[in-house]
Amino acid sequence: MGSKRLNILKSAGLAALIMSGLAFPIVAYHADMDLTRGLFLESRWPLVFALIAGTFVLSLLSSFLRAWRRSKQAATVPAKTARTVSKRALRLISFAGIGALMAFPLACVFTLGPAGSLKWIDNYGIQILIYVMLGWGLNIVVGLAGLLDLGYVAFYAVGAYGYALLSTDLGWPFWICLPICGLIAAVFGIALGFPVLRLRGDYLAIVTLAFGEIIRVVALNWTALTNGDAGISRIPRITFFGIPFSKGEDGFAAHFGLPFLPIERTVFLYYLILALALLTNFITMRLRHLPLGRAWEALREDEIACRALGIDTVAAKLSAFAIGAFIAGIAGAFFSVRQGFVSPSSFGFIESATILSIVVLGGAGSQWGIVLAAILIIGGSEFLRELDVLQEYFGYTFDPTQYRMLLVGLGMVAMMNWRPRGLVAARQPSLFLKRPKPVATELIAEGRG
Amino acid sequence: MPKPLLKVEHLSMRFGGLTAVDDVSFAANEGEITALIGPNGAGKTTLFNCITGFYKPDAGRMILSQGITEPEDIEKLTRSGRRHAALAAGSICLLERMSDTEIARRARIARTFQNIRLFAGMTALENLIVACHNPLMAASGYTVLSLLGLGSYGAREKDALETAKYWLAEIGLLDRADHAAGSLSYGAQRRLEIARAMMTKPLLLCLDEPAAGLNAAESAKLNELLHAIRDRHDASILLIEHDMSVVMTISDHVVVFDYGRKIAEGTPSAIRKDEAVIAAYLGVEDQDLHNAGLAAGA
Repeated sequence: MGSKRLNILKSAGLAALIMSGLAFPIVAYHADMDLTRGLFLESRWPLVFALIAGTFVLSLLSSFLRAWRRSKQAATVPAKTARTVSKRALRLISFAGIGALMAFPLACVFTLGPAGSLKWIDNYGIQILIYVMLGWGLNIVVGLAGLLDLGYVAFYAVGAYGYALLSTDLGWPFWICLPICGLIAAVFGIALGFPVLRLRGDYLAIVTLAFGEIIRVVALNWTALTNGDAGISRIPRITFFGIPFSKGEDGFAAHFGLPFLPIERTVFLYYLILALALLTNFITMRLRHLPLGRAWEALREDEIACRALGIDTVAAKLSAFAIGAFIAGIAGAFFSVRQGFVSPSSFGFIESATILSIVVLGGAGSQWGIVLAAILIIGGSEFLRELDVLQEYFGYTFDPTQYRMLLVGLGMVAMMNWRPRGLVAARQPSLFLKRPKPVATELIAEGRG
Repeated sequence: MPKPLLKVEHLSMRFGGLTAVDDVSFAANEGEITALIGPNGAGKTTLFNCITGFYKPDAGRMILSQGITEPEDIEKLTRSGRRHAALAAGSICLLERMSDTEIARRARIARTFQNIRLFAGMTALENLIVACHNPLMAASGYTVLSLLGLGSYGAREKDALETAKYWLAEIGLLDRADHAAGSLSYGAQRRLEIARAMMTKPLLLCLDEPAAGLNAAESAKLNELLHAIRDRHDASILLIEHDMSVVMTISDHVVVFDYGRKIAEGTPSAIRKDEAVIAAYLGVEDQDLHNAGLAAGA
C-alpha cells in the first residue's frame, strides 16, 4: 500500500516537473509594449508556481480517483456486455432524426427569419452534413475494410476540381457533373489502390498520406489547368434542376410564385447534401448485408484466412477504395458548387485528419457514432465562434476559435482514456439466427490493413 | 484400389540455405484421411503452405485430379504451360502454378491454420457465411444487381444459411451461432474453423494440427467430426498432427517426415512398427548409430 502511495506521489511530482519545464520558457517572462512603444519584460513567477502546483494537485487527484474507481470496480461484478438498443427503438430514432433534419432549415427560417437563419443552415447544417458524408465514405475504407487511409481528402479535391473544371471550361451542368465527378474520383481511388495492394498498416498510411499531398501539390502547381494557388472562381451556382435561384422572371422564386429570398438557394443546398448523405448511408447499410461488405469486414479481421477461403482480396480492396473515393468525389462536387470557388488550400492534410478523427472518434464501423462525432468536431468548432461573449472576461484580444485544436486534442486524450474504440463501440452483426448480439469491440480487429 | 486425389511429386522448397522440403513425393487418396506426421521442424507446415498456395515451391509438381483422368492428360497439361484442364469426365489442376485464392476456388482445397485464423469480430454464423463468398457474390450480380434490389440473392442467402445451420449443428455450436467467434472456447474455435472450411464444399480439406490444445473429450469429438466429413461429404482429408492417439485412430494412411524428407509411409499399424520412424521420434542408441556409421562406411 505504501509503495502505491509513493508511486502516485512520484508520478504527480513528475507531472509537476514537466510543467515547470514547460512553464519556465513560455510563461515566466512576457514581453509587452509600454506607452512609449518600448519593449519591457514582465515577470510572471506567481503564475508559474500556480501552474506547477495546480498540475501537482490535479495529477494527485486523478490518480486517487482512478485507484478509487478501480477498487470499486473490483468490488462489483465486472459486467463486460455491450449495451444494446432494440432494433425497433433504433429505427424509431432514425426516423425521428431524419424528420428533424428535414424540418431543421424550415424551422430556422420561420423562427429566426431569412437573414438570421443563414448561419445556422449553412455553417452548421450543411457543413456538418458534408463531414458526415465524408465520414461515412471513409468509414467504408477504414471502418469496414480496415485500410488506414490518411489521404482521403485527395478524392474530395478530385471531385471539387472535377466540377470546377467541367462547369467553367466545358459549361456542363451540375446534375450531369455530379455522377461524373464521383466516377473520376473512383478511378483515382483504384489508381491509389493498385500500388498499395501489398502494403499494410503503417506503410499503407504513409503511402496514402503521400497520395493526398501529391493531389494537392499538383493542384497547386499545374497552373495551366487549375490556376494554381489563386484557385478557380466563378463556378456556376446550383440550380433547381435547371431553374436558377435568381431574382429575375425565370428564377426559382418567380417560377413557383414565392417571394425572392437569397436563403432559398441555401435551403436547397441543405436538402441536397442531406439527400446525398442519406444515400451514402443507404448504400453502406446495404453493402454491409451483401457478400462484398462481409468480405470487407473479413478482410479487416484476417486477410490470410480470406485468401484461404478463395475470396479475391484484390477485388475487395480495390472496390473499397473505389466506393469510398466515389462518395468523396460526390461530396467534393457539392463542396465546389456550394462555395463557387476552389483552391488547393481547402484540401490540406488537416482535412484528411479531421475526417479520419471523425471516423475514429465515432467508433470505426458505426454509422451513428460518425454522426455524433461530426456534430462534436465540426459543430463544436463552429460553436467556438459563438463564444465572443467571453471577451468580456478575457479582454478583447481573446479569440475562442484559436483554441479549437487545443480542445480537439484534449477531446482525443479524453477519448483514449474513456472510450478508446470510439463513441459507439459495438458492432452489429450483418445477419443472425435468433437474436442479433452486438460484438464487443475488444474482439474486432483494428484495421491495420 | 483407391484413386489418388492429390499427387505431390518431387517437391522441394528452400529458404536461403535451409531446405525445408526436400524432394518429397506422396499421394492423398480420394475418400481417405491422410496424416502427415514428423518431429517439429520436419517441414510439414511448409509442405502444407505449398499445397495451399501460400508458398511457391522451388521444384516439383502437385496435381489435383478429379473424376476420370489419364496420365497422358496430366503430361499434356504440364507441357502446355496452363494451370488447369477440364476433361470430358474430370478435371486436373496443377497447384504449383496457382495462387492461394485460385487453389481455394478452382482446385477446391480448403484449409485451417495451426494458429486459429477465424474472423474474431464476426459472429460464428457470419464466419460460415463469409466462406460462401464466391457463389453468393455471383448470386448478388457482383453486388450491382442486389444494390438495386434485383436478382435472386435472398433465396441464395437463405440456402447458405441452411447449410451454415447444418454445420453449426454438426459441430455443436447451434446455440452459439450469434456469438462473436473470438469469444468462443478454444475447442469450439477449432471446430468452427473446420466448419468454415467445409462451407466452401472442398474436395480436399487440409487441417494443420486440428487437435492441438484440445482435451481428451474434445479430441474424441474432433475424431467423430472428421469421420463424418470423410464418410458423408465426399471430402478427403489431409492433416498434420502431433497427437498420436488422433493420428492412429482416424487416419487411413500415414506419411512420416524428418528433416524435410519423407522417411516412411503406410497404414497406421505399419508405421507404428517402422524402425526409421521410431528412430526419428525416440532417437537411437549410440551403439546403433556407431553400427550404422560402420555399415555406411563399409
